[in-house]
Amino acid sequence: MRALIVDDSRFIRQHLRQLLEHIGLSCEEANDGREALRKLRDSEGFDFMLLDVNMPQMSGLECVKTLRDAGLHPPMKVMMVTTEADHSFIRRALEYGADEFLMKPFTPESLREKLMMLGLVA
Amino acid sequence: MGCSDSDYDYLRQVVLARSANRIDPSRNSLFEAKLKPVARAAGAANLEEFVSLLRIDQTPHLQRAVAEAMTIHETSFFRDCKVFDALRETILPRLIAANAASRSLRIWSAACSTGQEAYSVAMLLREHFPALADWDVQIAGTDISRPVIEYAKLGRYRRMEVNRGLPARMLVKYLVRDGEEWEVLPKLRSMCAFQCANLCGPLPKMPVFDLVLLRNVLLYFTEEDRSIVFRDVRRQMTSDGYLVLGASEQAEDSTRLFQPEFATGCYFYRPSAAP
Repeated sequence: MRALIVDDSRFIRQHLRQLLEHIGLSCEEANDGREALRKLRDSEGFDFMLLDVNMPQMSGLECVKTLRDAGLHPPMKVMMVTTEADHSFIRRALEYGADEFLMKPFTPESLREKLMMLGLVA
Repeated sequence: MGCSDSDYDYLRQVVLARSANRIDPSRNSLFEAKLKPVARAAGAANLEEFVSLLRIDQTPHLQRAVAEAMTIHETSFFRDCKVFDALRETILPRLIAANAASRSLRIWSAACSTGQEAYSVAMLLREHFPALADWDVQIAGTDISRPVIEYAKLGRYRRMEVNRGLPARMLVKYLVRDGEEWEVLPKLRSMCAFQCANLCGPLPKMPVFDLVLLRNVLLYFTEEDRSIVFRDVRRQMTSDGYLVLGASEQAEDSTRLFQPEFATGCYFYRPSAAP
């Protein structure tokens, strides 16, 4: 399984990478939505994207909408990770094409459970 | 806090007698962590003093408080999604077909802890079985611990709890946000009723159930107590009902009360024809 971690914080990306690699996913990183889209266009075979919401250049919401509209990596599961918990925001993310939502702060166990829910780990 | 080996043995006996929960000596530190508030509420300065008090004061409420505090309350929404797949694809369709005449469904979430399992079943029914809308559906949740039953009745969960196992689509559809808590909608809460019950004692008056979820409880019980619980659970089930245990649990051969079946990646149990 190959994952793309998108977050403007290097510290957060490293933390998420550690968690995902521990579960058995191989990871690449992007600093914001634009870099994520570039990586998705240049590379094939991403199974999962962990996507922050508030980022410079391009937000997570705009990123997920753009990649779904463009049909990039259609089977790829996208999970938004954010402190934002407003239901209208979650609904909009799901409408734009996000598959799942994880609220910060979260435990490694809750991340693993979400991946199981998405069928990415047994 | 801290106490002697004989004090720990005494605490172990109290918990075993009251809840059938067997606590291994390697987990003595749990007594320290979990009994602190109970000891303080009883006016004891430390665990040793509390055990002394417990030995003198044989009132049931204090012993019950110890047993309740030592109960494991680990749970989450849709815990072990394979079980919910089996419910959706195999067990519930069969029960709905079998109960078409009575148009009623009785489900028991035994040792329900803070209620996530019962509410998950309610969500599953609402989401995948709309034909049940005009059926008489009741989901009973029971647990030995009063505080967790009160929590379950409220149906209010914190961020860390709704983050565990609950799909985002279900969250926005069946819970409403209130500040830093999320409340289960009344249409689900009205399907669920929670009450205190000790699986090892006389059970309260309850209906006969079509489906019993008894997951991740019996692994803490002795074989003898497990047999007693299986016997009582069997009496509380319809003859063609379903029993679901935790992934690492099984209904002992010795009980001869249940027959295992396997479908949709999950084991479950049916009452034997002649127990």
